[in-house]
Amino acid sequence: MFDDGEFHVVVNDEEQYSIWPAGRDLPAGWRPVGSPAPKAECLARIDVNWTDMRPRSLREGT
Amino acid sequence: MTPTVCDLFERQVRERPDATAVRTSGRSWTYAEFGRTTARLAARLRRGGAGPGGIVGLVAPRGPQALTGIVAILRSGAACLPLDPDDPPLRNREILDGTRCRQVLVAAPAGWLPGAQLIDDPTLEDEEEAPPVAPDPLDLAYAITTSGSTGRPKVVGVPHEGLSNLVMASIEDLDLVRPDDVMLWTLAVTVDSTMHDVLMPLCCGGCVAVPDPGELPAAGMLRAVRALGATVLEIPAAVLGPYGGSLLPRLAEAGVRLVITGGSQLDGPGLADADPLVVRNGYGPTETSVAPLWYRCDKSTPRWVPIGRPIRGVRAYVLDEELNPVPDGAAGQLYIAGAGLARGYLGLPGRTAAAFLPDPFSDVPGRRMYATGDRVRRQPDGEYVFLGRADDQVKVSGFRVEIGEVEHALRGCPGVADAAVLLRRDAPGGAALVAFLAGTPLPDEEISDRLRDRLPRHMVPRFHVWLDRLPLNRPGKIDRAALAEMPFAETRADRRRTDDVT
Repeated sequence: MFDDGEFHVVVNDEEQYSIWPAGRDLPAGWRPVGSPAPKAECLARIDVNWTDMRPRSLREGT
Repeated sequence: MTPTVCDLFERQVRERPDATAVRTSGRSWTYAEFGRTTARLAARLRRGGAGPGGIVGLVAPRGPQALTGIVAILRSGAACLPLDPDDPPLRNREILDGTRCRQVLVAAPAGWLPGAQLIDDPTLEDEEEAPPVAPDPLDLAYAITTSGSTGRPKVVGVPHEGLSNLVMASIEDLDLVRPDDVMLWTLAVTVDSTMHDVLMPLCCGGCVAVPDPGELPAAGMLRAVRALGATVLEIPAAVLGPYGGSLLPRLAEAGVRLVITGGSQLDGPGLADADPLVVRNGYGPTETSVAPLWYRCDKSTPRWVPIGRPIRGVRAYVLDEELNPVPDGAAGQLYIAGAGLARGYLGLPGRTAAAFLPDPFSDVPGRRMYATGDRVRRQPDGEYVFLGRADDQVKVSGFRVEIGEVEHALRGCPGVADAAVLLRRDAPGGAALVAFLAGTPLPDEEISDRLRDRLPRHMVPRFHVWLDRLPLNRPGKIDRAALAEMPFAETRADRRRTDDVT
């Protein structure tokens, strides 16, 4: 994927994180977290925030 | 819900206790026996705290003990993290610590692993058989170490749902294994294809044949096939491509019905000339559960063999730089979605997020797709063809090497200021990793010795060449194109001293 420009940190219902180019329609089931930033900064933020990589449904045993 | 491999194996133990599950040149184990052995070891692991959500290390060479270890770990509910006992202890220790792996199974005592559980521990005889543990399909089944571009190894965690989807497709759709098959285990314990190769027979009532320890060159494979009565085996594409033409007829004669291949681009003639033997080529990164695309060779197969089409539950997209689908026949990057996606890189959420992106094409909201980094095109008949890597991840002897990890280790050597590593296919003696170094030159042996303490053997460069400085391109990055063109005569380690003097 293109490396330049700004990205959104995005998260789904399973609380899995990813990134998505700012200004593009977000795929269904994902919502942005915080404001857009360069890719490296988004990934650094995810490193801090995504502390448990298990999907939420597994964590909660649902 | 799809059963896990644990459910499938336990069903075989109940339904065909007297069938042969595992065979070596020395002895064999029925499903009842192998079921009992693995249940006792699983019970010991459970008492030590292992269970769903946990990871247990396995440090054992290919052999019946390693197979016992894999199945016992899965039956404890934990995920199996296989490590090579020949890799540097420092690196293995780092991986075990990084994945918070507290229990380790070993085939032989190792000084660097005090407290590890011996797989053949005689006191296991007294262990009660573990009651079945049912891991959630989203729990990890195994974790595989790949070389990491930031200098740290990456550990890919794969959940049960991906593994069992592949195993079910292998049995029911692809005809990779039948209950009367004997599958020869040929690969290293540490590659994810091993999980597929050894578990699918055990999930359908077939037999795993374990060859004697040691390297398994083509001639050795043929001997093992004959000695153990194998009907199916995996041969890496790097071997099958050049040697398939001569090897396949002899394997067919010995009773082999199917050769599974993969690991790199399959490039070779005569893959459909050993009728009735069939060759099936599997494609996939570890991040997508071993091989989510499969191709069956036939008389019309070209030398550059296609990677086939997605298995059940898997979707494949060919996208351009802007993540838009390209038309059939056009080149793009391959993205894989659906069943089989790994959870990610354990302990590396940022790296995971960069590779597993929101899937804009899924009918189910909130799904991810994995960016393979491989360039492909889709043919009008629906088969995909591999074109090349999008980045500088390379394969050496079938192992995936991220150049960055090698460069990182080189830069840790005293005297080395900067390092760039390239895979040069034109190297004397065949494709080899070549290290281009800047700094105060050290003897080759000293560098190699230091690297061997940090890296598996296949990641240690075969040639070193010292330059005043590494060439840079306009954006200020190392000019790999220039290094790739540097005449080899000048990059030979034995010539460089002369060059230095002049």
